[in-house]
Amino acid sequence: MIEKKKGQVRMMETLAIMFIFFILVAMGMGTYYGFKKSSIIQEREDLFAKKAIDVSIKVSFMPELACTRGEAELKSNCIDVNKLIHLKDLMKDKEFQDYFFDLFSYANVTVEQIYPEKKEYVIYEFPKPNWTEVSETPFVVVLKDDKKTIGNEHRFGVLHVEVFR
Amino acid sequence: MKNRKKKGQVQIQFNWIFILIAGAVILLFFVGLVVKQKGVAEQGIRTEILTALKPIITAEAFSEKTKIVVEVPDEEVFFHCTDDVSNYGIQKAGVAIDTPITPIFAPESIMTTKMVSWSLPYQMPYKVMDLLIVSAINNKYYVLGDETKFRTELINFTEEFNFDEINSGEYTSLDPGDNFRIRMVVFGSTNNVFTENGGVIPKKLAAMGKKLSGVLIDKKETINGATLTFYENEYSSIGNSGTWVSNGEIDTIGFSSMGAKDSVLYGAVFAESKDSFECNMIKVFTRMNLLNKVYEKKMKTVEEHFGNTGNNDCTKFLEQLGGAGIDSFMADLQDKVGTCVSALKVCDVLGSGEWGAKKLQSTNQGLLGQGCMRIY
Repeated sequence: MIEKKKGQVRMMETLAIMFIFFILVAMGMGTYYGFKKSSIIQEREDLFAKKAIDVSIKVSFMPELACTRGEAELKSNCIDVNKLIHLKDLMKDKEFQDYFFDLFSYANVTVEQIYPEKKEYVIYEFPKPNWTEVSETPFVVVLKDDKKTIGNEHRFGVLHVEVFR
Repeated sequence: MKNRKKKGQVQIQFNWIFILIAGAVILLFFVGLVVKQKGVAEQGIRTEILTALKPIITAEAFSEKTKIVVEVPDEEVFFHCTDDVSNYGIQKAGVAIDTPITPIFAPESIMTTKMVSWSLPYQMPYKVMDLLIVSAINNKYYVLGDETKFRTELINFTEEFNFDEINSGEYTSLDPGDNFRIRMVVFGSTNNVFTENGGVIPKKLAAMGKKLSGVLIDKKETINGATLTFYENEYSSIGNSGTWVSNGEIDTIGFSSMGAKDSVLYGAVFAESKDSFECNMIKVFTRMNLLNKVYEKKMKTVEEHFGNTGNNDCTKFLEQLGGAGIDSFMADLQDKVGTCVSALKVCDVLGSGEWGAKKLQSTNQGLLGQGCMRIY
């Protein structure tokens, strides 16, 4: 009888050890996946913010907007006002909308002139339906109007890019 | 006594069976965990490659003449461009990122730890967009044939890539070595290895199969552009032999870039095949079609500005575009661009002193020289 009970106790001991072992493993996995989840969420946020920067870079280097020097070279961070005005109107065409959607996806792109006078040009407006989050990147740019006399052709502006998810 | 002995025997055996089962369960659990983590790690590597490539394709496509060398995990990356589909991705992952806008001139696949990318502007006459060239340090480019200015420029400006100049004697003894892909770039018709000796490829090179390709660049020094003939290796495992077979010819004289470097010819050096080259050039002309609409409106603004300021000296340059004016000139140019999109073989937007991009360039230079408001 005593031997039987000894055997049963041993069996229960083994089972208890295994149970605790698996509990510890589960706790370890839970902690690991908790850390992994928070780093994935952080990475997702970084990529979302980066998306706005990517769109800003694309806009500032667009031949449809960028200033040229008389050769074919583009000037960086400079927007030709005379192209900007026409691109703003042409963006209402479906052909332009479809093409630039492949480039910008769900985003709003606005050029705001802040000096000498305030003006706003909405180049591209395509917010995501039922969007839940928006990330905005402002980018200081120079606007150039060749119609003005030399010395008066430059303006200051801000390129606003909003991306949605 | 007998009963007790039997009970003892059963208990011992039962213990061992229990230990075996418990041990197997624990082992299976950890093996399963390791296998799962391996899959996650592989997926992570593939995501890392695609994440590393994306900024190259974004930034490179929009900042010209820069070369970027990127270290990537050693996975096979494919670049695909046909009429309907244009994308890049990891071969094993079965995941691809679409690239409907950016022209990427690259081999069909790359497997390397160091990827090299280079963007060059396409100008006609104003900048239309950047052509993105992607290759790897283990893709070998052998250059042979006539000495031309473009050949010298190609060697001088591709230090980051893996270029080597050889002669036809060295061609017969070439060994692929560790190179993943080999591209033969032949200039002119002398030493044309694609047709000499019946186009038979040396055995060691032939064994590379589809990873061996070539392009013949027939360029006249006085003319922009060249006649390009693309070649592939028709390999037969019977006899381990290969023959050069042409997969098409294109004349770029009517649309080669007007910039300091002919980005179209550079694209042809790096593009896998004629189809891939054509597919990417069509992206350029699709963009040009839209860009020309912006410039057409700007030209009218320029014309209006000259009228408002009474600047007849400037107006006369715009009048040189043709009797019917800007509308007619641009309509003709757009018509030519449309032809380039649908039939690259007969594409001609460059024009001459009387029409096309050359006419636009001379008009703009005239405006620049006179201190007038320019088209670009």
